[in-house]
Amino acid sequence: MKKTMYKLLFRKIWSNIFGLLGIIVLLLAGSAFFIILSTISANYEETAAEYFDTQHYADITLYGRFTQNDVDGVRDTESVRKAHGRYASEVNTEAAAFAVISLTEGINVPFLMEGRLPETASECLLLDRSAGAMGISVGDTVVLGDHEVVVTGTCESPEFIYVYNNSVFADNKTYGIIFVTADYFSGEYQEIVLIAPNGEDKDIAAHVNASAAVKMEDQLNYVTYESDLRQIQSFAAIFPTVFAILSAAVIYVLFKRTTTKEHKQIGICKALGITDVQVTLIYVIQAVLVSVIGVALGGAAAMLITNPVISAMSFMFILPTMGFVFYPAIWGLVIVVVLVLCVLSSFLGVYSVLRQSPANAMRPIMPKVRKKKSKRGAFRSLSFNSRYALTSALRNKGRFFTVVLGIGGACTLLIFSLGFHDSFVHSINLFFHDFAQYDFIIDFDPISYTMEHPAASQFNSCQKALMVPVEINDKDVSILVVEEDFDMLRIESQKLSDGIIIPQYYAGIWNVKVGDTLEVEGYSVKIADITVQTLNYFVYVSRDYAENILNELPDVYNVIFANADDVSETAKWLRAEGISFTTLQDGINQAEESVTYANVLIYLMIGCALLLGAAVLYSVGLINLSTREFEYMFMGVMGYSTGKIMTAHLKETVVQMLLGIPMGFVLGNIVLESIKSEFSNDSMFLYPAVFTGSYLLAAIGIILISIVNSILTARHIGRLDIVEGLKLQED
Amino acid sequence: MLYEIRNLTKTYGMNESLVTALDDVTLSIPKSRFIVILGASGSGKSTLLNMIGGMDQPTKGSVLFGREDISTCKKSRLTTFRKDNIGFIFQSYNLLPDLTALENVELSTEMANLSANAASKSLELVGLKERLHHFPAQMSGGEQQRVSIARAIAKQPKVLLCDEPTGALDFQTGISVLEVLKQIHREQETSIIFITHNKEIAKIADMVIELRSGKIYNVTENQNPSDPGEVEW
Repeated sequence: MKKTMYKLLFRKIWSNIFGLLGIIVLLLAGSAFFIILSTISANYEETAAEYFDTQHYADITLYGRFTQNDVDGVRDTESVRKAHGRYASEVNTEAAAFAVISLTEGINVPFLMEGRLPETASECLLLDRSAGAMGISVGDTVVLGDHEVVVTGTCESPEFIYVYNNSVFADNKTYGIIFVTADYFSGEYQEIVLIAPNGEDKDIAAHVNASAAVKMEDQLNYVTYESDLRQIQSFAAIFPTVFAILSAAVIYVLFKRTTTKEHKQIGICKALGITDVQVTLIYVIQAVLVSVIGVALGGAAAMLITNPVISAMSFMFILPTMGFVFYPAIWGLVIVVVLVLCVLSSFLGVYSVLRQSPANAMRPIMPKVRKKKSKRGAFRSLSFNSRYALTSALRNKGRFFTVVLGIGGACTLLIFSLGFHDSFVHSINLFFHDFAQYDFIIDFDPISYTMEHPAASQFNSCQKALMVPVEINDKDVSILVVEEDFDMLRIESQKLSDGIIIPQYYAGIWNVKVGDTLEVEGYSVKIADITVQTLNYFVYVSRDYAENILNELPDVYNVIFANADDVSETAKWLRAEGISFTTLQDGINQAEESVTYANVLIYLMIGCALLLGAAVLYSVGLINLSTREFEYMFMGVMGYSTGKIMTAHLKETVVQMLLGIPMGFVLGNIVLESIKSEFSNDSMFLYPAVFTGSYLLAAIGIILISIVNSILTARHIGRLDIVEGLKLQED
Repeated sequence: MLYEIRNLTKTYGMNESLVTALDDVTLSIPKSRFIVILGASGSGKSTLLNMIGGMDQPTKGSVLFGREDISTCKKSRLTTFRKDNIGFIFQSYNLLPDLTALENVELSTEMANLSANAASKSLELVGLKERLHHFPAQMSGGEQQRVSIARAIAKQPKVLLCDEPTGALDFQTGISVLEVLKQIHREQETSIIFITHNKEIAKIADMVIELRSGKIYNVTENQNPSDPGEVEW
């Protein structure tokens, strides 16, 4: 391009600056969101893999009672590289409960954050986040029943990226992890941790008669890590896709409008001998500049925001080595996608004018010839103002529907974001307020079915159950063996005589329905019912039915579900007796706490959705204004007040909102439904829901953006100089 | 001959809305002449100008420029043809509003790879030495038309095609534009094809081609063309 063409280009950029800025904002938000989440997911995956490797996260953990001989036996197994016996116990203090675990050399090595490793039985290492939440510092003493241990350091651990307490996220203030030396304990080990990358957990477990063997990838910690990774990847795909579609639409509309407005100038350039390529470049370079600036600013924003987002996510998980990393592939993908999108959209916008001969391009645009229909009925009965608003709304369908698409897109993302939060709350409510009918759960080592648990007398109702780990369709699940009158969980227990009851989550992954059969421990069992259970899944079976399907059903139970008249008094008693328990309220509190963890992402998504709505409405609003300026000025000449012009403008916006908002409601629900399986995992089944308040909030958010946009428009219309404007139009 | 036009027809639209702008026009246009194409509005004169300027393509017939048939040229060849041979002056000036007077002319000279001062010399020639850095919106209609003339002549085209360049100007300004064009014709021997509906202006031409309803109505040679100062309307 020649020098003067560059001058022309930069003056055109300047005259289009506000429209282009709107697109830059869209690209900035879209690319920043994508870079942040893709960087976090890639970095999370990479860092976690390295972290698991360097801290030697155990491949298999065996549970049961083990002697040193058992440990040595496991160690001698061919596939086992390393094995250690490990002590684990739970200690309840007045303030908090602690999982006390013995350190194992070279397996599940804690990542030291501060201080040093414990060396004697009276020293300990405390999980860093527990220390922070409980206000315990290095050098402080923690009383664990009969033991007093001094905190020599704080750490993070590969097996506690997520800390769970009874299958729900632990509250770090009331639940902590403490690592001690092995000589803190005595007697048999409760666990064997081993490094055996290709080891068969069942074979090794059988070797030492372990009650359970859990592979690394089946541990709740690891399952949640993988699930979070998938979720972040889903977010990274959904939001930027919506932004990309809308950016393309706005760029197309902007350049289409600009080239239509400048079609005569394009004709002049072509008449002067300027080639189509050079004319195209004037517009395509604008698109390229907008893309480069948008992505550069998005990238800069991502570099600034990623680390704070990772910090905010530390409510959910902690990987001490995680931070912002530049991934050329992610940035390259963003740059290529944005460039292709912008160049293509701008080219399509220019193309319709460019393909005309110079003579045609220099002629005024002919209005489309349509057969005149006499408008009757409802339309004629409208005021002139309303008829004008409706007619002008539909005069340029491209711009009109881009605004509808913008409103719809922003509303979709708002519904999705708010619905994501609502779905969590709804899933928790479904379990705790609908499904769970107990006040207490107490699990313990199996005792004879004929014996009463020492705490049983404290409850006004108490039901026994046996929790047995089994494998169904290659999945480790827990079977809960209950009496046929079991009513502590809302299952159709009368159907238990006919077969097993499974949660909806399992039905989904096993692809089964009521009446189908499943193989359990080599026996074919019928699915009698499927329950809507969103947390703590079990496969339910009656004692009678279990006796038929399990080889040897021991006459024991290891869990009781109970109700008490005075929950807090009973809890006090249990604590005093040193009996470990979970109340329904604890579960509710912990689950609600876990919802607040997800809020970091939700706020980020709501912010992006609002930004998207604002940017689209502002950009297309500007394009609309530039098209209608003359019309508005002429209306001003005819004595139409700014108020009346604005009323017509507002009526058009209302029509667009009436179409865009419901569209967003529907699409938001569809997106939410489509990610249901991505967000459901072994710890929670996400039941999609959008509360009425969220619909209201989304609509209010969109309306507020429209109001702000209308105020800006009114200011602009109010400032129009009728004389200058008409003169310019004549020119 | 500068142009040989044979059986040129141009229609717009289709079916009921079909309009025949040029109807089987055959015409020879000699070199280095000041030719006026005269006709009322809708007679097809602008369409004819567009065809011979390579701005539009005919429905039927041919336009030979020298030996080249520009009616069958590809778009890219037509662009080069316009760049190398044609200078356009339009009734509504058609300057680019985002460029100054000098830049509007430079746009044309840069395309023709002419020296950097060709544009300013050309503006000087039309009497706009003091208005080089003004934008079109800051100039009068007459000044804008002179910038348009400077833009057309700066690249020293073989043909100047003028589409009613005085149509939007007052009498005095119109005369001054005609004088500038006559001067260029005289000094540079540039062929000028000037279309107008004004019979008075036709008096300054060497040759007058009259169009009516898309057909050649009359072609006359003018042995004694008038000076622009002698005509009145």
